[in-house]
This record gives sequence, structure tokens and C-alpha cells, in this order.
Amino acid sequence: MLKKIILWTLFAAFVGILIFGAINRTTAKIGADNGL
Amino acid sequence: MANRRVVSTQTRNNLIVDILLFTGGVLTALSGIYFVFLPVGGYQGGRNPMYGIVILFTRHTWGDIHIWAGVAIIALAALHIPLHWKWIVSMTGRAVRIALGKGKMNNSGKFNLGVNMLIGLSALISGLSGLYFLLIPGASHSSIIPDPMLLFSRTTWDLIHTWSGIVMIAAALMHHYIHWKWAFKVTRKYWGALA
Repeated sequence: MLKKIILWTLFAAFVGILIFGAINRTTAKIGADNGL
Repeated sequence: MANRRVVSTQTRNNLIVDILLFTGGVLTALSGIYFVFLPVGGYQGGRNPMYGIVILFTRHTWGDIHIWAGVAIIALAALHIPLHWKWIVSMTGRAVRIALGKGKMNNSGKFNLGVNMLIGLSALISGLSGLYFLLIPGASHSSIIPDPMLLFSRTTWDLIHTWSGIVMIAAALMHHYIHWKWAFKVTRKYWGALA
């Protein structure tokens, strides 16, 4: 059970980092489109 | 002469394609992660704080890794899918029957099916949007040709590629979590026989 909790936590953290990166790219691309 | 074959030809073929797919997937994902955190290239008149930062390779090399590893996984997926075609047909039939209330599946089967559907869909979207950048003149951000605006702007295509790629990485991690025991067992058997 503890192993599952640890693995799910690591998975959530990694996916969180990916989503943060994707938001970063989205903001940069939309900003560039708007001439920012 | 002793028979050294410890896994079937089908299992061996699956293993080889899976190892190559895994390697290509890791390279594509790592280079993709590079581009989400360093989204803009060039000096940009001093507005790009990431300009000049080198992480292992230059930006151009990361781009080459992403393109070639991406092309490789599209080609390998074209082998992986026929290798598992029976499973795909059987599970699609079962999923339709369940959706119509005529069939049953345990929770781990549903989870596996859901993860694979998510991988299939996100890989299709990510692959097609990647091919758009690769094959359509002017689609790439670095192109000097004006945006062809085929269906969407290049920014929209970029964001479709980015988000479908993120979903695919997350789903692929789940897929490996489900199947790592099979991969470990077969790899050990196969390499044990070769040694």
C-alpha cells in the first residue's frame, strides 16, 4: 500500500512538472503571437 | 544441440519493438520536456532570459533529437500496432459491449484499456501535429515562409502538439507501470539465453 502511495505521489509530481512546463510554453507562444 | 530458444518468436519480436519504442519514446519525451521549459529560441532583442543556456546539447541538437526520435516512434508504432492487432480488435469489441451494457470487465482490465485508449488517441494527435511541422512548408516556427494556416495557426498546432505530448507521456508512464513485470521477465529470459 505504501509503495502504491509513493509511486502515485511521484507520478503526480512528475505530471505536475510537465503541466507546469506546458503552461510555460503555452504562455510564451501566445505571448509571442501577441507581440509581447 | 540444445534448444536455446526460451521465448517465442512473437514474444521476441514484441520485445525488440518495445525496447526500440521505449528508447525512442524516452528521447522524444526528454527533448520535448526541454522545449516546454525553453520554449523560445534566439536573443529576441534581449527579451529571452533563456538565451545562450546550454543543457547537455545545443537547442538545434535537441530539435534534431526530437524530430528523429519522433519519426522513429511513429515508424515503430506502425509495427507495434499490427503486432497487437488481435488485442486491439478484441478489446475494442469488449469496450463497445460494455458501453452498451452487454459485457463485463474487472477494474484492472478497464484501467489498462483506458490507459491504452489514451495513449492511442494522444499519440495519434501528437504524431499528426508533429508530421504537420515536419512536412508542411512554413509550418515550423523557424521557417521564413509565412504561416500556411492549414486548419489552424502554427501556434495552435504547436499547442495541440505540446498538450497531446504531455498526455501521452503521462499515459505511457502508466502503461509501463502496468507492464513492467512482463518487460523485466522477458528481457531477463531473452538476454539470459543470449549470454
